Amino acid sequence: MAIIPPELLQAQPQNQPAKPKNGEPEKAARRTPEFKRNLFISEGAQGIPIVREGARRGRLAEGQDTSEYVGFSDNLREVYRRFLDNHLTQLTQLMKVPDPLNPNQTVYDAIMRNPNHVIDRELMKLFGSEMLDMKGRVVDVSVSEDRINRFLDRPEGWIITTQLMEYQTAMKLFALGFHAANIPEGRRQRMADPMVIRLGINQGVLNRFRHEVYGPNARDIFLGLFSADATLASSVVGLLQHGPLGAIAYAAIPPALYGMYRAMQSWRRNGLMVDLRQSKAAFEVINSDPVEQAYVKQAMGIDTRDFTVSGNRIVASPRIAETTRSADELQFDILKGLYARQQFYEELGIPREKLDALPEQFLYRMMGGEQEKTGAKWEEEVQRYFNPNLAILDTAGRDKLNPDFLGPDPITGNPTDYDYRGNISRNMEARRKALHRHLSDFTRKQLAQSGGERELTPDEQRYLNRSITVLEDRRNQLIDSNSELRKGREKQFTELKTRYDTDRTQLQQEKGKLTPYLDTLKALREARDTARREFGVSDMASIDAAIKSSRDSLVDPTIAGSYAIRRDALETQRNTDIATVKIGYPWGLAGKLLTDQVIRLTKPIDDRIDERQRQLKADVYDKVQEEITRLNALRTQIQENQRKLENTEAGVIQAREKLESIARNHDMIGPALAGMPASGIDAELVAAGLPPVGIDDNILRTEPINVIMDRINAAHTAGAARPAALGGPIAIGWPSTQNERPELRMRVMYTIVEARARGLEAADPARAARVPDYDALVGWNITENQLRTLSVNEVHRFMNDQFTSSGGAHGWEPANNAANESRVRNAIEEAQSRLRVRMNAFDHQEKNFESLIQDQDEQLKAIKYDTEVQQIDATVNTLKRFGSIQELSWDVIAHRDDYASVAPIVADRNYTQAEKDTGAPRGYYEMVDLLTGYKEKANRSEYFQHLQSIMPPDRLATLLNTHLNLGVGVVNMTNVLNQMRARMNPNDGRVSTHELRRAFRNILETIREEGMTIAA
Amino acid sequence: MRLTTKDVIKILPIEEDVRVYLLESVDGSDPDRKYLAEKLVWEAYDTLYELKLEENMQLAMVGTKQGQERLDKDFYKRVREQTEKEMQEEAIQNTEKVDLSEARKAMEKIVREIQASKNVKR
Repeated sequence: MAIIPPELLQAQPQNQPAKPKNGEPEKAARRTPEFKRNLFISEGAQGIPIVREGARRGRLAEGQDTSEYVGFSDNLREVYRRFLDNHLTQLTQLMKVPDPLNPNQTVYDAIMRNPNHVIDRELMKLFGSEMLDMKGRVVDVSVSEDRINRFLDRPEGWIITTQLMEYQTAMKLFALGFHAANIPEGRRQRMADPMVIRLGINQGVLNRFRHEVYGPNARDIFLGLFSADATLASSVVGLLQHGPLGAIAYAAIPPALYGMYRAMQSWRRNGLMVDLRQSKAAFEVINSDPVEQAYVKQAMGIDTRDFTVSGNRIVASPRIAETTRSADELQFDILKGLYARQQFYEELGIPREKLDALPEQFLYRMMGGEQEKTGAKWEEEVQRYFNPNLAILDTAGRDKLNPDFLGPDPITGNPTDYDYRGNISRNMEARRKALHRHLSDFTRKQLAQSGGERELTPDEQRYLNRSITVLEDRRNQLIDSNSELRKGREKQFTELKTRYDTDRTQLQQEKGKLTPYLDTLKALREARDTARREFGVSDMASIDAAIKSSRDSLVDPTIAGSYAIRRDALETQRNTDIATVKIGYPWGLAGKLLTDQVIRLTKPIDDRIDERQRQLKADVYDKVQEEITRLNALRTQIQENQRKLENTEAGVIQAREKLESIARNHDMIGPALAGMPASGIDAELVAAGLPPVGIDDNILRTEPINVIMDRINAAHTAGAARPAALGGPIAIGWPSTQNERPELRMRVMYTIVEARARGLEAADPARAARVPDYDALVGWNITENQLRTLSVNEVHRFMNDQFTSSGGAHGWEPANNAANESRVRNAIEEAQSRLRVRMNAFDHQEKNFESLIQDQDEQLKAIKYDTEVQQIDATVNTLKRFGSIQELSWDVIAHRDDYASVAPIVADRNYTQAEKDTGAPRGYYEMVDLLTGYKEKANRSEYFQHLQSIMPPDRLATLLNTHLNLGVGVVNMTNVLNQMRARMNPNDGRVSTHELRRAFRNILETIREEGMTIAA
Repeated sequence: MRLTTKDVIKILPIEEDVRVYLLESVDGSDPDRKYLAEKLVWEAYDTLYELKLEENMQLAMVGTKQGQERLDKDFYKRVREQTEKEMQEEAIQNTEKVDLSEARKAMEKIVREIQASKNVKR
C-alpha cells in the first residue's frame, strides 16, 4: 500500500562517503548534495543576504552577498535524519497501544484516520512499509532509513522536515504548557504571560546533545554554553523535573523564582538566548482537544492531565503523574529541535538575529509583534493560509482590520485581549495545511515522473486530487460482491477460518491417535466393573479364585452343599426309595414278578429322582458352569487388555507415549510446575539475560494460538539478536516463517492442552488430598499407567512386593493393606483424573477452534458494506455541490432567520419523522440541506438518516463554530445558530458571504478528508 | 446579487485560455476537475475580495485623516459594505463585458465529444 516514490527507491547518493580507514569508526554515511538557495528562500527578502551569482558556499553576515548554492552540513543532516526516524518510529510504537475509545483499533489507527494527522499518514506512506494481519489491521510498520536518506537528498526533504520539526517541537512545548522565545541581546518584547522560566540544562542532557549533534570529538563547541548560575539552573531543572512532572507542587518552589529573569546563557557566537515561558493559552490548545491530548500522550509521552491551569499558571494536577518521559528527555528533544532549526537557517545564510525560537513566537506578544522575517518560502505560504490580519483575533472575535480590535467587548464592555489560544490554534492549522501541501506536492511530483505510462493506483490517484473518482471507485467495489476489495476483506476471514479448521483437524487426528489406549483402558475398566458387579471380584487373582471356588463347588465332595454331594444324595435317595418298594412286595411274589411289572413299580421313583437330578443340574451345575464361563471370559478380557497396556501392542504403546509427551511439549514452551526445574521459553530467555516474552499458563489458556506463536517468534528474534556481551545469539523458539509447520503447530496445541489441563486440576478442590498419595506410590516405582490399569488389590500386591524387595523401604506389608486402602484409591483416582482432564482439555480446545471458526463465519456475515457506501455517497454528493454551496452564501445571509433558525420542527409538516427524530433546531436541517441537498432526494428520510454518520448536529455545530470563528463556549446547534444569526446581521457583519464561503470550503475539505479515510 | 460560479469565472482577472479551461471544467463531466475548478474559482474570488477590502481599508484610513471618513464604531462595517458593493458592481460590469465566444466554442467542443463518445458506445 505504501507509495514509494521511485526516486526514493532508485536514487543514488550524489556524494559517496569516504570509506573509513582500518580501525576508524564509520562516520556519517552520506553527504548532502548542494541545492540552489532560492529553492528555500525568496531572493531579496528584507535583510536576507543577496545571492551572488556563481558564488559557492559560505556563511556571510547580513548585507553581504552569499552563494547561489547551499549544502547542508553532515551534522545537520544526521540530526534531521534522526528526527525523522525517531518521529516515525514513535508513531509505529502506537500500533501496540489499544485505542481507549475504540477497542477495535489501536491509537495508531485512530491517529492515521484523524484529519489533523494526515501529515503523519502521508509520512508513513512515504517511509513506512505496513504489515497487515489477517483482518487487514496494521500490526507493524517498518521505517525505511534508506528512504529517509534519499528524501534528504532532495530540497523538498529539507523543507518538509524543517516544517515538521518546527511543528512537533511546538506541540511538545505546548503540551508542557510552555512556549519558547529567543532573546537576542536582551529582552525583546513584553510577553503575554508574566512567568519566565529558563530552560534548565543539566549536564547529562547537554553531554548527550553534544555527542549526538557533533560527535564525541567536538567537545569545545558547547563548553561553557550553559554555564550560568548553578543554583538557579538546578532550581529550574528541579522545577521541570519535580514541578509539573513529579510530586513536588509549585507551591514548594520559592516564589522568587517566578518572573525571575536572569542573564541567560547564549548560543556561543552571538549571544542568542532561549527562554521557556509558561503559556496557559498554548497549553489549552493541546489540552482542550481530546485528539491532540491523546496524541501527545501516546506519541510524546506527555500526559497533559498531569497539569492543570490555576489562574495564569500551569501547576501539577493532584493525581499520580502518567507522563512517561522524563523531564530530561523532553527537555533534550525540545532543545534539539530548537537548535537544529537555528542551524538550518544559519546554513541557509539567514542571520541569527532574524530568527525567533519558533515561527509562532510572534503570537505570544501582547503588542504589535511581527513574525520573524526569514524569507523562507514555505513560511510565506503558512502566512497566506493563516492570514494574520484576519486570523489574529481578539477575545471578542474581531480581526486586526476591525477598528475596534482590542477595544472593549461589545456585549460585556470588559477589556479584551488577544485570543491567544484561538490564534495559536489557527496558526497550527495553517502550518498543517502548508506542510500537507508540500508533502502532497512532493509525492505528486514523484508520481508525475514515474506514473505517466501506467494506470495509477487508487492511493496514487488520491495524491493527484482525484478524490471523487477514488471515492466512486471505492463505492463501486463495495457494492460489487465479486470485487477484489470485497474478496480481499472476506479473504482475511476465510483464510483465518481455514487456518483454524486445519488446526482443528490436526488436533482431532492427534486425539484420534490416543484412541487405542483409551479404548483399551475403557475395555479393562468395563471388564473389571462387570466382574466386580457380578462376582464381587475385579482382579485376576480374585477371578481365578472365584473360578476355582465355583469348580470346587461342583465336584468337591468334601465341600458341604457342593453339587457333587447333592447329586450323590439324590442317587442315594433313589436307591433307598426303590429298595423300599421292593421290600413292600408280598413274599410270595418275590422273584415271580415280570420285569415289566417291576419296572412299573419303580419307574415313578426313577422319574422323580431323575427330575430332581435334572433340576439340580439346572439350578446349580449349569449356573455355576455358566459363572465359570463368564468369569473365564472376564478374566480373558482383563488379561488381554492388561497385556495390551503393558507394552505389548504398538498402537497402545504409541498412544500412551503421545499422551505422556503432552506435558513434555508443554514444558518446552510453557513454565514447569512449581517445584520442578525451570523450563519453557521465558525461563530460557531469562537464563540468557534477556527479558521474557510472557508465555505463562494463563496466556496459554486464554490467548489464540497465533498470539502464542507471535510470542515464540519474538523470543526467537530476541535470542538471535542477543548481544555479544551476554554471550551472543542463542536459538530459542522459531522464526515466524516456520509457524505453518504442522509439528510446530501441534507442539503449541499440546502446550495449550496441557496448560488447560493444569488449569482444570488447579480448580479441583479434592485433588490436594490425592496428590501426596499419588506422588508417594509413584515414588515407590508404580507407574501412572499401572495405576490406571491395576485393580486396588493388585496395587496392594504391587506395594507388598515392593515392601519385600526393598526391605521395607517402599510400599507396605500385606497386614497393612487395609490401612493403606484410601491411599491406593487416591492414587488410582489421581492417575485416572490426570487422563480425564487432559482429554477434557482436548475437547475444550477442539470446541475452542469450532468457536473461532464460527466467529469467522459471523465476521463474514457481519461485514456491512452498506454503511460505507452510504458515507461515500453522502461525501461525493456533497463535494459535487461545491459550486452551488458557494453560490448559496448570499441566500444564507439574505434568509439568515431561516438558515439560522432555532425554532423546533416538531409540529412542522415540512419535515419528515426521521428528521424530527433528530430533535435539532430548524437551522440544522436548513444548513444540512444547503450542504447536501437532501430534501430533494427521492429517499429523503433514508438519506437524511445516512447523513447522521457524517454530519450529526453536534458535529455540524463544531464545524461551524470553528470555521466561522464564532467563539461559542458551549458548542451545540442552538448556541451556534444563535451566534451565527447575530453575526450575519448586517449591523454586526462579522459573518458575511465571504466568511460563509470560506467556512463552507473548510467544512467541505474536512468532509473530503474524512471521506478519503474511508476510501483508504 | 447572487453570483454563480460561471459569473465568478467571467469576472476573475485571468487569461482567456484559463477562463475557457475553467468554464469547460465546471460544465464538464469529470467531477474531480469540476470540484477543483470550483474550489480554485471561489478561493480566487475571495482572495480578490480580501485584497479589495484591504485596499478600501487603507483608503478609508487615509480618508479619516482628511476628514472624509469618521473613525467610529461603524467604520469597519462601512468599509466592508463598500467593498461588497464594489465587488458586485464589478461583477455586473464584467459579466456584461466578457466575451463568451471562446467559452461557447469550448462548450460546442464538449458537446461534440460527448456525442462522439455516445456513438462509440453504441
